[in-house]
Amino acid sequence: MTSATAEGSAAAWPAPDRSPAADELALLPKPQTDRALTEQLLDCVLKPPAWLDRAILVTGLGSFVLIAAVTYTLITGIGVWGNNIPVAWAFAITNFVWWIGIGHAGTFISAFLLLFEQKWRTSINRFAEAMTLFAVMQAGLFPLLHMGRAWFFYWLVPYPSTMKVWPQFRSSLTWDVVAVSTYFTVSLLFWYLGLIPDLAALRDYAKEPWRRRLYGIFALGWHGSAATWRRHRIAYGVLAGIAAPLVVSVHSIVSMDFSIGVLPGWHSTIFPPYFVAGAIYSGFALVLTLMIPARYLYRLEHVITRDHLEKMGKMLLVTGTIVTYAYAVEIYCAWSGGDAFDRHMLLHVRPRGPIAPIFWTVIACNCGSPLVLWSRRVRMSAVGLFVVTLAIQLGMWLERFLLIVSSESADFLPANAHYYSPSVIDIALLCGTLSFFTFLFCLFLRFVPFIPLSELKALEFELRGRS
Amino acid sequence: MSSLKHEHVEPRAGIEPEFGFDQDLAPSALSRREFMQVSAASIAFATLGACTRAPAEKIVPYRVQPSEIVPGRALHYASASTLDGYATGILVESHEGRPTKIEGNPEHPASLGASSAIEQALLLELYDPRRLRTIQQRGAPASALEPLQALRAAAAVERKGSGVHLILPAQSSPLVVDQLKRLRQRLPELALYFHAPLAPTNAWQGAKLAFGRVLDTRVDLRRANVVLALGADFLARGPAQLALAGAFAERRAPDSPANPMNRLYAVETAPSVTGSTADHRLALAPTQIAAFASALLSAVARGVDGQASAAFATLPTPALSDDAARFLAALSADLLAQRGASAVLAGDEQPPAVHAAAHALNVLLGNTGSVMSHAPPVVFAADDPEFGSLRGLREALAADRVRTLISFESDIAFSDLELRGLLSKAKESLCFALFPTQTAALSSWQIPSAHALETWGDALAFDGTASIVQPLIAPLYGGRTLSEVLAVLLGEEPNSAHDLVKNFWQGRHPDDFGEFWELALARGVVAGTLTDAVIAPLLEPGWFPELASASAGPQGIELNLESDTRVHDGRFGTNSWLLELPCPITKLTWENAAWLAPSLARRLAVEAGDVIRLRAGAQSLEVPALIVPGHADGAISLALGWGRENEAGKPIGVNAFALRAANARTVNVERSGRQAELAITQGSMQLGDLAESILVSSTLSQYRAERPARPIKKQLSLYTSDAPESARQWGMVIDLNACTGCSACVIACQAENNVPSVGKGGVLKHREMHWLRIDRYLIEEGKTERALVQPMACQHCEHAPCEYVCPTAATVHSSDGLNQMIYNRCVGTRFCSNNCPYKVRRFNWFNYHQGERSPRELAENPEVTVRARGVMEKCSYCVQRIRSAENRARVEHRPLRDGDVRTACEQACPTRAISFGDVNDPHSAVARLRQNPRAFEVLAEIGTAPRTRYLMKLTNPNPELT
Amino acid sequence: MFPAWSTRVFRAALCVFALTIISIPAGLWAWERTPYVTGADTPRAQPVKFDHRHHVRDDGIACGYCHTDFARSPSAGMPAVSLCMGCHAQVWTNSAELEPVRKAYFEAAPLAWERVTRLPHFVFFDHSVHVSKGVGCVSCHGRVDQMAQVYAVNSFTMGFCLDCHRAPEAALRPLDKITDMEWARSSSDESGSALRRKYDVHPGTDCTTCHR
Repeated sequence: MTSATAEGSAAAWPAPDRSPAADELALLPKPQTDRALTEQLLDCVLKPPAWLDRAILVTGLGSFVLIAAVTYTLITGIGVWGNNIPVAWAFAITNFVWWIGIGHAGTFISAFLLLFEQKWRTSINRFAEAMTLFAVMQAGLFPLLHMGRAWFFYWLVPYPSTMKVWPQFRSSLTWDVVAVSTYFTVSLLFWYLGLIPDLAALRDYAKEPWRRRLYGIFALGWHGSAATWRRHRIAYGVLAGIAAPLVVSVHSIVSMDFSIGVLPGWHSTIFPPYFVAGAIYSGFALVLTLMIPARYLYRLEHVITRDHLEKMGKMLLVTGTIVTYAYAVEIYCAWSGGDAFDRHMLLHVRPRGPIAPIFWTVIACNCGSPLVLWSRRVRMSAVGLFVVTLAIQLGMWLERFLLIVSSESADFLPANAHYYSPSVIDIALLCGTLSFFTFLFCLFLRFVPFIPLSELKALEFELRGRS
Repeated sequence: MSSLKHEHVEPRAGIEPEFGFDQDLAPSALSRREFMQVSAASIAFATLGACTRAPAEKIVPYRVQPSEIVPGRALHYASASTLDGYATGILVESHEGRPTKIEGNPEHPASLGASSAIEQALLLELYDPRRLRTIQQRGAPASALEPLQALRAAAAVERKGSGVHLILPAQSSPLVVDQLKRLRQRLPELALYFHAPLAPTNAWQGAKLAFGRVLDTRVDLRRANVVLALGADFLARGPAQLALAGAFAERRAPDSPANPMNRLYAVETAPSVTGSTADHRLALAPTQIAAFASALLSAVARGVDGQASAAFATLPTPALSDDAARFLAALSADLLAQRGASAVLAGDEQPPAVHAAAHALNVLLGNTGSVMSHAPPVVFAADDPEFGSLRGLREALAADRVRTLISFESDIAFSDLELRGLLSKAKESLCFALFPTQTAALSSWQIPSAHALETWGDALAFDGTASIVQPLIAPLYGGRTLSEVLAVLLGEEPNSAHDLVKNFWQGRHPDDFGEFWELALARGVVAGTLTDAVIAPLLEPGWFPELASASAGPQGIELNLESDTRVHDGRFGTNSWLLELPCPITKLTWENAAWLAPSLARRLAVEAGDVIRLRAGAQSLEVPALIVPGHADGAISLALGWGRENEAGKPIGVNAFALRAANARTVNVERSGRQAELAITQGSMQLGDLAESILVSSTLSQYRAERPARPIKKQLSLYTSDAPESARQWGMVIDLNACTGCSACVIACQAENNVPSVGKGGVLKHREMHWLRIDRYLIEEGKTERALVQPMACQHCEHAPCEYVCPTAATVHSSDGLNQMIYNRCVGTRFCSNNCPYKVRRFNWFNYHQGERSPRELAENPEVTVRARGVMEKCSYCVQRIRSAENRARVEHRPLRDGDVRTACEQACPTRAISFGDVNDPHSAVARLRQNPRAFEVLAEIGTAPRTRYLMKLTNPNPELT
Repeated sequence: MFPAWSTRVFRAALCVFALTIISIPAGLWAWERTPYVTGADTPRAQPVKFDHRHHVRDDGIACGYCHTDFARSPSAGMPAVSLCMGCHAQVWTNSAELEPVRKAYFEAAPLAWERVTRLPHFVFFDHSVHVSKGVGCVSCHGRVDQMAQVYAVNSFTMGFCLDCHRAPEAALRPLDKITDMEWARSSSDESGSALRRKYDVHPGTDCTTCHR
C-alpha cells in the first residue's frame, strides 16, 4: 500500500534509472522485521546512551562562549574584531559562507535524492536535514552580527517606513536576507513534515504519559491512515520540489556577495556554480563527519551500511572534482585574461604572497584529499572517510578565508596593502558556533528519532516485498 | 538648526580625563556596570529600533543677544598664530562664540590664505582636556592673588631684579619688546633668556659671518629659475614656508610661457618634503654638505670673474664622491647660467659657515638684490650671540643665585636635561604654561597661560608685517598673557592684555586711532609695517677655517638631529591631530624613529623596527630604527620635539634633545635586541609597474614632445548615469606638479569634518580615520629612487562601485555628481569599503567621539554630523560648504559663482594644488584644468569614472645629469 | 489519549499563530506613526506660559519680531530675554507669570524653553531658504496664532519633508504672505506652479540636501 503510493508519487517524476536489485539490497543487507527496527531505533531516543547527556552538558557550556562574544561585540563595537580597512570582512563572513555552505547537504539529500528516487538517502536524510537547520542557524547569526549597527537590521527588509526609502535592490546583501530566511523556513518545514510519522510512532511506543503527551502534540494527531499517508507523501513531494531550486539559489546569491564586487579575485562569473558545488561538497563532508561516529556509537551498521558510506564517498569525489575544476578555471581565466590586477592576485598574491600557506593547504585539502576516494577500500572504510571529511571541513573554511582576506588585503593601490590577524573574539565566535551547533545536534539525537523509521520500514518492505 | 543646541556650551570644571589618552577605546576599559547598562540598552535598541520616542530638548536663548551674532551663522575673525616669534595670519571661524576652524588669512604675507597643519591643529590645543586649569602652589590650589604678590615682590625696584631670571619664548611682538626694554631699565640686574630650541640661530650667525651683522634673508622664489636647497626644507619648515611654497609652485606650471618651470636641486641628509619635490636630489651626511658647499663656492667663484670672487676661488675644495662631483659640476654650470635668477638656501640645521657660504654664493651669482634680500631680524635680541642659550641660567642655578625663576610657556626641563636636574635649586619658581609640562611639575607655582585663541597681543611676520592677535573666546581656564605678566613686573597697575595692546598701538597712531584699530583687526595685518630691505656688502671671508672644520668631521656615523614638521620643538608633542598625522616621508605616526639608509642598515645588520641604542658622548637613547630609502649613507637622523608624556605618563616617542645636549657630531649604534611596533599608515611604497594606471609622471621635455598626452575617453557602460544630470556637476582636480606632500590638507580636512583620531593602537590596526591621505610612492630612477606623492580621498566616481552594493542605499549619487554617504542610514555592512578600489572609506569601529565628556566636543563643526559607532564615513567634497553656499546664494537671489565653494583641503593648500568647482561651467577653473593634457584618472581601466582628476607630475631635470 | 476538542484547540492555535505573524509588523508599522512616537500634537509645558494667541492676535506682533533670524539664518532664532523685557519692562512689570523672565534678565538664570519642533541632529534644516522661496511659517508649524501652548502639527518624519520636496507647489505662497497665518490661496492668487517658476523653486531630494 505505502509502496504503491510511493510508486504513484514517483510516477509523477521522470522514471529514474533503476540500479540492479542486488545493489539496492546491499542497502539493507540482512532482513529485519518492522518490530525489530522500531524497537531498536526508538530505543535510541527513549533509552539514550550515557555519553549523550554529558556531551549535551559540555557543548551547552561551550555555547556560553558564543553568547559572551556576541554580547561583547554588540555593546563595544566591531572594533573588538581584528578587522581593518582594507580587510573589512574577515572571520564573520568566512564563518557565514562556511556554515551556509554546510547547510546545503541536507536539503540536497532530502530533495534532490528524493526526486531522483535514490533509495540510499533513506537512512541518512534526517541526519542531513537536522544538520542543515542547525548550520543555517549558525550562519544566520553572522550577517546580523557583522553589521556596525545590528539593531537596524530590519532596514534590509523592504517595508513602508516613515523615511519613505527602500533597500538597495541591486545589492546582493538585500537578497541574502530573503534567500537565507526562505531556505531556513523551507528546510524546517521539510524536516518537520518527514518527522511527523515517527513522532507518532514514538507517541505510541513510549511508556511515560508525559512523553506520550509531548510527542502526541508534535505528532499533530497523526493516525497513519492510508489517506493521511497519501497526503503526507504528496506534501513531501511538493516541498521537495520547492526546496530543490533553493539549494541552487541560496548559495548562488551568497556567491554574489563577492562576484558583484570589483576586487581582483572576486569579480568573476564562475562563482555561483562553483560556490554551490563547494557547498554541497562541504555539506556532504559534514554529514559523514557526524554520521560515522553516530553509526558506531549507536551500533547502526546494519541501517547505515558500508554501502551508504560508499555512495557518500562517491558524492564527495564528484563535488570535490567540480571544485578542483573551478579553481583551475579561475586561475586560467586570470592568466589568459587581460586584467593585470586579477592576474597579480591569482598568480602571485595567493600562491606566492604571505598568504600562500593557506592557499596550498586549501589545495591539499579540497583537491588532494578526495583523490584517495578513488579507491573503493577507502570509500568503504569509516575511518578513512572520517579523516578525509575532516580535511575537507578545514579546506573549505580556509578557502572562504583565503578568498575574502587575500582579495581585500592586496587589491589595487599598493598604499592600501595591509594584512589581517584575527582577535580573540573572532576565534571565540567561531568556536562558539561550533559548540552551539554540536549542542543542538546532541539535543536532536536525544529527543528525535534521527533515522527516519517509517521511511526505512517502507524501504524494507519495498525491497524484500518485491524480491 | 543644529547650531542652536551648541549655544552656551561651557566646558565644566573638573571634566574627567578621557578614556585612554590617545582615544584608542581599549575595550578592556569597559566596567562591568557599563557592560550591563549598555547591554540592556543594546537589547532595547534591537527590539525597539526606530520606535523609540523623540527625546525632549531645551532651547536656551541669549540673555542679551550680541548684535554681531546670528545663531546658526558662523563669524570669522582675523588673528595671528606665532611660532618661535614669527607670526602667521589666520582667520578663525566662530559659531556662537565658539572657535571651530582655522584658515589662513589671504592678506597676511606669511599665509596668503594658506595654513599649515600646525595652524590647523591650534584649535585642538585650545580644547585639549589636558590643559592646566587652576593655579597651584606645589600641587595645592592657590588664589590668583598669591602669584601676583610673588611677582610683585620679585620685581621690587630696590632689588634691581637681582636673582630674578625670566625665560620667554622668542618674541617679535612690538608690545612685548617695548615692555622688555622698559623692564631692563627698571630692573637692570634681571636675567632674561629666550627659550627657542629651533630658532634659526645658525642662520643669524651665518649672516654675521658673511655680512658682519645679524640679518634675516628673504627670498622671492617667483624670480628664481634655479633653486638650490642646502639641507633647507623651505617648503615645509620655517616661518615663511607657506609663502615660499606658494611662490615655488607658481614656477612649476609647465604650460605658461611667461614664467617657465624652475629647477630645484636639493642636497640633504634625510629625505624631506623639499627634497622629494626636487628635480635633482643628492643625499649627503652633514659634514659632506658643508664640504659640498665649499666646493661649490670655489667652483662658482672660479666661474665668475671680478676680484670679489677671487677671495673664494682660493677656497680649498674637499674631496667629493663621484656622484657628488658630477652633481656639483652640473649644478654650478646651471647656477652660473642663471646669474641673478637663482637662489641658494641653507637650512637652519646647517652650521653658520654653510649659511655664510650660501650668502657668498648668492652675492657672487648676483642673486642678492634680485631674488634675495636682507633685513634686520624681526625677532627681538636675535643679534645676541647667546640668544637661545640657557648656559647663564644653568650656572646661576648651580651657584644657587636664583631667587625667582619665571618661565613663560617655555618647557626648559623638556629640552634641556641638565636644567631639569637644577630647577629644584631655584628658591621660588613661577611657571606659566598651557599644559602640565615637566617644567611646571618642577616649579613651585603652576599658573595656566592663555592660548593663542584666548589672548590679545601682536606679532610680526617673517618680513616684519605686524598683526594684531585678537581672542576668539575668553580664557577657558583663566589663563594669563605674557604682556599681563610683564606689566606686573613693570610695577604697572594690573591691566588686561586688551588694554595693553590697544594703548601701545594708540601710542603709535595717536590720531585716527579709531579706524586704524578697526582696520587692523578686520584685515589681520597692520598696513605699512613691512621692514625695508637693507644692502649688506660681503665682508672679507674670515670663516674658511670654520667651513673647513664643519666639512671635515670625525670618523663614524654622523648624527643628524632635525626639527619635526608636526610637533616642532615639543610644543605640539601631545596634540593628537598632529601626532596622528603621518610623517610626510615615512608615514610613521605617534612617535619618532631613527632614520637609516638601507645600505647602512645592512652594514649594521639592523631591521626596520629594531630598537637601537644611540650613544653620543655621555648621552644615550634607545629608539626604534626605520629604514628610509634616499637617506644619506653615513648618517642617522632623528627628529627633535618628541618624547612629551601622555596622560598615563608614558613618553610619546623619544626625546632627542638628550642627544643634542651631548653636542656630538657622531654616534655609536648598538642593537638592543628588542623590537618595536611602528604605526605606519601606508602599506607599500613600491609602485611597481602600476605607475601608468595610478600615478603618472614624466619629464618636462618628454611632456612637451608628446603632448597632447592622455585623452581621457569616456568609459563604455551598460548603465545610463545613475542620477538625472543636473546642470551643476561638482568635481576636483589635483595638480601633482604643485603638491609637495606637506599634509596641511589632511589636518584641514580632519578639523572641518569632525574626523576623530584613533591613537597608536588604532593606527597599528590600520583603522586611521583620515578622509584625505597622502600616498607616497617610490619609483626607480637610475641608481636612486624618486618619491612621488598623491593626495587620495573619495574620488566621487560617476559609476561608484560602493553605491550598488550598499543594502540600505546609504551611499548613493546626488544629482550634482556627489557620491553621498548618509551616516544615519548606514548599518555598517562595510561592503562599500570592500568594493572601493581606492579604499578611502573609513569605518567607526568604536565610539570615537567623547561627547560632553571632553571639551574637544567644542571643536566640532556644527555643520557636520558627528558620526556614531558602526557607520561608514568618507570625503564628502565638503558637502556642508557646498550646500550652505548654495543656500546663501538662493537667499540672496543670485547665481552661485565659481570659487564660492572651496573645500577645506583646497583652502589650506599653500601651493594651490587642489581646485574644486562645477565641471559643467566652462568658465570654472576646474573645468579648464580637467581638459589639461596632463589630466588623468586613477585606475581609469576599472570604469569607475572618478570625478576627481589628477594632473601628471612633471620634473625638470638637468640634461647633464640624466 | 487526546479528547476530541483538542483538534479544535489545535486549529485555533494555528490561526492565532498566523495572526501574530501578520500583526507584529503591522503593529510596529502603525506604532511608529502614532503622535506618541513622533511627538506631534502634544503641547509642551513651558517655563513661562507664553500664549501665542495673545501676542499674535491681540497684540498683532509678527513672527519675525521675536524669531528674528528666520529669514537670514538656518535657525529661526529664539528671542533673547532682553527682547521679552523690551515690552515687559513697561507692561505686566510685576506679573508673577513673568518672574522667570525677569530672573533670566536680572540674575542671568538661564531661561530654558522646551523644544517643540525637533529634528534629529543629523538633519540640517535651513529656515532662510524656505521662507525666501515662498514656504510660509504656517505650512510646517500650523496655526501657532491659535495655540495656547505650542505643539507640533506635523510628524516631521522624513516622509513629511519629502512629500513637499517632491511636490512643493501646494506649500508655496507670495513672499509677502510668508508670516501670514490666515492667508489661503484664492482664485485671484498666482497658482503654486506659477510661483514655483517665479521663485525658481527646485527643492533638492538628494540625501545631502538635509543630511551632511
